[in-house]
Amino acid sequence: MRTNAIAALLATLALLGLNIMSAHGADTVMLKGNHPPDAAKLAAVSDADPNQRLSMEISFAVRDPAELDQLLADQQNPSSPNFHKWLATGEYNQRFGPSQANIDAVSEWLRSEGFTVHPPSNGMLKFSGTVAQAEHAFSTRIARFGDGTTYANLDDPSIPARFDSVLAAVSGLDNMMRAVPASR
Amino acid sequence: MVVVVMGVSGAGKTTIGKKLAAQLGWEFRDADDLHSEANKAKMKSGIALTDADRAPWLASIHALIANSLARNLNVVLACSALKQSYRDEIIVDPAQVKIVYLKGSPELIASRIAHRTNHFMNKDLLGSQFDTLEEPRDALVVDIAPPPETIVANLRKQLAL
Repeated sequence: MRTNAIAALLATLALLGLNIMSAHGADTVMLKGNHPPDAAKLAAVSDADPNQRLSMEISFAVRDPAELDQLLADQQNPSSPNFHKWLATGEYNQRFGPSQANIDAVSEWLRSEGFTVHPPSNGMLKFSGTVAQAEHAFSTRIARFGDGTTYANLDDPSIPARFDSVLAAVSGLDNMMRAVPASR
Repeated sequence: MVVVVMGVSGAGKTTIGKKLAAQLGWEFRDADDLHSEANKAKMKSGIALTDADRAPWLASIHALIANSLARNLNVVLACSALKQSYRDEIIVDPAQVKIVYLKGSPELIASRIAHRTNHFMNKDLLGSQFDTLEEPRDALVVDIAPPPETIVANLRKQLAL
C-alpha cells in the first residue's frame, strides 16, 4: 500500500538522521512526546484529508518549574504554611504561565502559517486550521487509521527553535485520546 | 466538578493530578491520604488490601467527593479506583464526576516505581494491582508514555477545561 511504503521510507530516512518532512530547515526543534504512542502500532490506512479542519491548542512551558514543583509539594505537606492552599483561577498563569511577549510571538507565528488564532484562555492558546496547514507548520504527517475516523500525527511536531523553551505541547493533531471503552 | 485520575500505583496519578489542578486553579486531593494507618502499614509490608480493608477508605472518598460537589468546589482527585465497584461507589454524580484512566504497560510502570523512594506502596504489590484492575468503561483513557505536560494539555483539551 502506498501509505505504508511512504511510512517505511520515512522511517528509513529517520534512521539515517534525515528529516525530509521538515519544511523549515535547521531552525526547528522537535517537541518531544507529542504524537500518540499507539500510532506507531497501527497501520495507517491513508493520509488524512488535507482540507480536514483541526481544532488545536498550544500549551506553554512552565515559567519556573522548580518553584512550581516546590509549591505542589508544599500543598501536600501538612507542616508547610502552603498546605492545602490552592492557587486561584488565573494565579497559575500569573506566576507560571507565559509572558505576553511569548504569547504574541507564538500567535504571530501561527497566523503566518495560515491558522486562525483565538485569544489565550487560562494559559492555553487555541487555534484552528486544515490538516495541510498543520502538516506544513509542524513538519509532520497526519494519517488516518482503522475505519478512517481516527487520525494522528506520525511523529513529533517540529517548532521554530526560538520557541524551544516556550512551548510544552501541541494538542489536537490527533484524536486518539477519546472517551472510549477500554479493552484488556 | 471532580476529575478522578485513576490507575495502578506508579501510573502517575499524583504527578498528572497536581499539574492539572494547578493549571486550572482547582484543589488537588490524593485518596492515598484517606487510607487508615493500618492500611498504609499493610501496603508498606507488601500485603494486598482486601475489599473489607478498602470499605472505610471508599466511604471517605465518597464523602470527600459529595462534600466537594455540595460546596461547588472543583477538585482533581488521584485515586487508584481499580475495580468498577469502587468507581460505582465514588461516582456520586456521573454528570459532575469524570474518570480519567492512566494506562501503561506493567513494564513501564514497574520501571517508574523502581525509581520511587517516597511512597508507602511496596513495589511487589504492582502485580496484585494489575490483577485487581478492571479497566473502566466510559472513561477518558490516557497513554502514560508521553511527558506529563503533554498528557495534561491533552486532558484539558478533551475535558474542555
